[in-house]
Amino acid sequence: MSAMEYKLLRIFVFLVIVHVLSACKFEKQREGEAVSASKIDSSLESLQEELNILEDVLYLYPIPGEIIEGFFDAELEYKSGLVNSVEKKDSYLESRSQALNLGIYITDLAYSAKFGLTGEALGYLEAVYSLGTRVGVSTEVFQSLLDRAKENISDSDSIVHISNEAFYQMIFFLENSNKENTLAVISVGAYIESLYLVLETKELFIEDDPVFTQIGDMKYPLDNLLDRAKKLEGDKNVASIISYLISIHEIFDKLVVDETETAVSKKEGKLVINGGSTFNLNAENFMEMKSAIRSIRAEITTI
Amino acid sequence: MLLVMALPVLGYGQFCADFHKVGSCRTDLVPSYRYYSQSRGDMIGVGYTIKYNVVFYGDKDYIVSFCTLKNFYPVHFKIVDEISEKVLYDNKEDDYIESIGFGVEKTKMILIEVEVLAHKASDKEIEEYYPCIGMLIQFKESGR
Repeated sequence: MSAMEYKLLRIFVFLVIVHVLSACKFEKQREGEAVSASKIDSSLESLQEELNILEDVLYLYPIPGEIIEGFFDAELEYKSGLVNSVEKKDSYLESRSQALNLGIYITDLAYSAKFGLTGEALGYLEAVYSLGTRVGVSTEVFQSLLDRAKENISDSDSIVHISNEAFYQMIFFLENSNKENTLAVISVGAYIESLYLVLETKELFIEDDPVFTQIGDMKYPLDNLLDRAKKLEGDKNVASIISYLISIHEIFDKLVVDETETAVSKKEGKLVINGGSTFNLNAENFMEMKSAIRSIRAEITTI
Repeated sequence: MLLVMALPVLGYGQFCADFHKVGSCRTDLVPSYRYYSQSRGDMIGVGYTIKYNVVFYGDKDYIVSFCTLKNFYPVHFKIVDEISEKVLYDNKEDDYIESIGFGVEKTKMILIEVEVLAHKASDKEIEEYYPCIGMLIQFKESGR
């Protein structure tokens, strides 16, 4: 028996004792009933699952607020009419469309907050609350954020902070209640909306515009999303959104890559990681990506 | 006891999920830097290595800090280029320093590998506990 198995066995025995004791103390009404073996099995499985996850690589999700901020700090202006209407929130009836549109709304929340449209942002926070609870996120996660947003409606910095907090809290809740599948679908919705807002804000491709370098950088979070989704493809909702990610990935694969070896140097006493890959868009890539994202986004948001 | 009974309901890792915000990582907070959302708290066991695949954006400076429970120090971490698998930094060379600051020229995927060496933990502690590990990442625009 390995050290890990021994450790797990000890925890298993401990959990058995805990459940026996808790059954004795709290379940008088079920006197004589055997301690549920399946409950203990699922506890052990859950622990084993978490340890297995930790043995693997954790692909971290991008936060829409940070993506939006990164892009729209770079001289991009607000464009009206791009965000998905909050009026549609009650029309998404399937768990798949609810999770995808939750990702879309949470990005629209970040977008509205970024441009100081606090009233609109509040509407998106309410939509996030509504869809969030329908996909299984506890109401407690959003209630305090909603209350804080209402109290700070005139303070756009607070609303930006609250919009980021909404996503952190959601990740925290879903990861820790074994709803990784839902989180993967939400994150794909958020990623698609982030790209949609940026691509639709730009009318034409302009060489040397740093925004297009940033769009090329979006390949990295896409890789993480795809790798993580593939690990969860046993879930039908996740399986159904992998095709979106693959079709976007195929466009990124067409970009010309400038590659230099990654190396570490010291500059004025500071460690600097140099080199790596730059994914260069041209006008054709830009138009193809814009059209693909527009079509995927329409498929997701259309009722 | 109540805590353990709650574990199956809440998820074992939940107790560590905020560790990077409440643990000693907080002492590394730098006012001119901002919190990066890829910061994490997780459960770890001695002998395990957690690998985080993190996107670091170009033209930014980062500070990555690690924290765990007192007896489970030192924390050993490596920063690895995800594509070439080349080790870019290993804190073993710096006497297991818990925090590293660096600049990133171009956006890239970095693999951060972390383990707790638990030099001060007793055999019983190593056998019976899964401590939390916190990874706090902060960033700012380069040159600001």
